[in-house]
Amino acid sequence: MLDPRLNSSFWVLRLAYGLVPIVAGLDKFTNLMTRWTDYLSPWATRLSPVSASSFMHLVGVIEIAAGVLVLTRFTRQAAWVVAAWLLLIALNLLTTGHYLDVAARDVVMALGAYVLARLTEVRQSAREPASGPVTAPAHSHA
Amino acid sequence: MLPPRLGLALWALRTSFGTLAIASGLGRAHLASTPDRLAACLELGAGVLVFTPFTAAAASFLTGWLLLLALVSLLAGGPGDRAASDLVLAAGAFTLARLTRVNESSLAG
Repeated sequence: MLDPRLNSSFWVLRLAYGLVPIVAGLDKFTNLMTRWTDYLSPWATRLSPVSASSFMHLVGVIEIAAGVLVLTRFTRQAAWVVAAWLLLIALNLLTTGHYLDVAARDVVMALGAYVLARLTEVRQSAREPASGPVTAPAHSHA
Repeated sequence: MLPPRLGLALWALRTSFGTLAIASGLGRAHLASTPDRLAACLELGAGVLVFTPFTAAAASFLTGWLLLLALVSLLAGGPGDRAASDLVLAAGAFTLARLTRVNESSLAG
């Protein structure tokens, strides 16, 4: 049984890791929050077959999809994707040589996504019925 | 007793939030203005406290602090990406406080 106090943590993390990637993903098309291409390392730009803005649009689509999945029953899998994604972003920022503070925050957020995945696992296993043979009640009708 | 999978999660959150708060405080410390120096002291203090038996209290403080920073950033028209990451970090700090309290009560019980 999961401690009820951890239920609120699960929901707070789920909403944060679901809604924020959706908003950030949508903003890759509008650049209202910031100019996202500034965060793209020259190394990533060289490797990308498309322009920096098209690359960020693709990033936006992935973030929106990951955020939506966090809010569905695939929370655990999506949280692992978000954790890996945030670590990739941190790696990209490290290769720019700038924005090291943003990279550090992304690593901590990646650990938060990892905790969401673990909380979801524990929550799901707590809700599953105990394993073992199931006997039909004697009065049941076929 | 906290499940082993959550024990590792608690350790990861505690280490990362303590280190981030200390690094952020040190990063602000060189700034000249009084509000920045005050913020640096608060972040440094909270970061150090995360590594002491006062983890839950420090994490609760960091939750409020991060929410305040997000609000100030939004109201001042600052970068929205920074405010968004402050909100996500606040959710993580809240979870650190809760996990610590549950762990402490399971150890005491």
